[in-house]
Amino acid sequence: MIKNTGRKLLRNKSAMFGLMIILILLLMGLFAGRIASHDPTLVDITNKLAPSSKEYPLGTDQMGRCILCRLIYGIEISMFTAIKVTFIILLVGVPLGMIAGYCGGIADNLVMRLADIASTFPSTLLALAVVGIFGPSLDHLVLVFIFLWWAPFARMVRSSVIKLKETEFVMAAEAAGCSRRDIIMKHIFPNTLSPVIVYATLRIAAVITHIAGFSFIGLGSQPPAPDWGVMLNDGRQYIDTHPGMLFWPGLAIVIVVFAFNLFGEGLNDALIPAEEEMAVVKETGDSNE
Amino acid sequence: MSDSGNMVEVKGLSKAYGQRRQEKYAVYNVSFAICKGEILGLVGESGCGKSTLGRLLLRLERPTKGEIYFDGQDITGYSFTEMRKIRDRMQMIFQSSANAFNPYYTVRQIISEPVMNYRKTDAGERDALMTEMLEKVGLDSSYLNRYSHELSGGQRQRVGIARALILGPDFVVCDEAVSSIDFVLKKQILKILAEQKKKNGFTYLFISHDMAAVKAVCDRIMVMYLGNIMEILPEAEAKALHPYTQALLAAVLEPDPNVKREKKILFKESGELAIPEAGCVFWPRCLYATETCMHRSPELREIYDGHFVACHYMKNKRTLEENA
Repeated sequence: MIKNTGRKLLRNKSAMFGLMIILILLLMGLFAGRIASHDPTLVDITNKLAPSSKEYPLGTDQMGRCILCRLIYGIEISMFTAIKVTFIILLVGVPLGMIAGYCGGIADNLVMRLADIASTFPSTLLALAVVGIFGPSLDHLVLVFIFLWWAPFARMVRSSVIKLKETEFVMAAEAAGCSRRDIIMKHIFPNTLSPVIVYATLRIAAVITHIAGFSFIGLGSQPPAPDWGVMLNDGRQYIDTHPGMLFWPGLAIVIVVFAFNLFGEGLNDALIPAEEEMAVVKETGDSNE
Repeated sequence: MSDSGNMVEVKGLSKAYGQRRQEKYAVYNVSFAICKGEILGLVGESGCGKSTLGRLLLRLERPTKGEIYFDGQDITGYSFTEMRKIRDRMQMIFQSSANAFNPYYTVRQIISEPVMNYRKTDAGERDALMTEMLEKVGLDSSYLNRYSHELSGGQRQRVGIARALILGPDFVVCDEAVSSIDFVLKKQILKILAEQKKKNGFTYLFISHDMAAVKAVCDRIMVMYLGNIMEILPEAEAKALHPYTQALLAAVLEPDPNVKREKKILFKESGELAIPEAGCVFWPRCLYATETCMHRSPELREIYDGHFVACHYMKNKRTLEENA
């Protein structure tokens, strides 16, 4: 099963293309200090709004900062933050979904009502409220995302667990004398993962656009941070004279989101049909009596 | 329990699914016993509660009502942990073998799981044990590293059998254990089951809709219809008395093309198999149903030595036969 999935994923060209972009960007983000020749926040007014040159491949912004360097440092803010946020969301949502699905009863009710609450809040509104109370900052924004977005993961895991609980192999594990821990960790948990992984990959893209979006309207990262959203906001005033200031960060966001979506779709193709295949096998297996 | 000759005994066992108001009984008020070293066949149509009953006996499902005794112990109220202590003595061969295995597990992991849970062995001993078991069911050690989805239906079913028998349990529920295996292998596996019974005194509940296989291995046959026991035949060749059993037997296909079979349909056609509101569960499809059958449900009564039938008209069974 794992072998098949890997092979399918490798054969999926668009997914591999997406993964390649993601990996390259991640490496660039990790070694931002080595690659970028300028300090992304170093102001040099004498050199402001410079056109593309050898030293500044994409030119400079209104403060004379290297746009390319800021984009490279921006990877850390958008991609790294988004990956971290999604990871924390998984850490919250998946166990809660497992508990709700496996235990049922009061635990299920409690978790699902919390999930209902989390999913009824419009993220923009809550973000505005939190930023209004605690002040604008990327950290506050991140907390809002975690607070709201664990819910769909919990729901997804819960429904898989409820389905899996009734399957014969889980019953067989109980009959084979497995402990509750083994049943949950070895038999139920691994089988809930495929949709979660797909959805998490797509969710990373969503977090990136949200961070950029909130930073653009001034509620997320604050200048002079090299956030792509902040850069977009800076470029707004120069759209007529220096469209590059708006274009490059915009392109960066598009590329990253595109890459994650491609990869997510590829994962979806590789992981989900594997299960459908199983369903087909099951049906034919039953009918040859 | 005082009677120690019974491996398993149930009294008034019921299992209902669904919400309070719309309870549907999969198993309804069932009482019977399986003696030690006996193979009890359980036959009935699809969806009549055979598998549910099998799972109830192993406490893989919680009974709604009734009591279950395993080797004299009342296990009805046993917790997960208490059950775990005796699960090595009772095993189950599951029905649909595609879903019966974790898709991430290899055959080695599947079969070694019960061993690791109950026996202290090292990897070498386990492998030897597993190879021996696989060879018994007509596979070999080359299958150990395969995933269940790489196996055919019949191979999967045999892996399921190997998993269930590797601990040498006292009691095995075989849920359609030989249904998707070809004829030759079926014989071989039935032989293994019978051997184990003879050698080690295994007790089986043999669930199947394959009357031929049931007749070949079972000591007694229990017939179920919509969650109720209709008849318990004291031996495989005993003459069926209940109209439902007769209908079931009449529907068995004859493998020999030279033997001409009188085609008889002993059922009334009915669209849906629903439990009637009152009376005998079988009356809507019974050819002999009368007014009484619609209002009063018959009890399972012993007609003669060990032959139980749940039908109002068993007193004058001759009339029944004449009508047929």
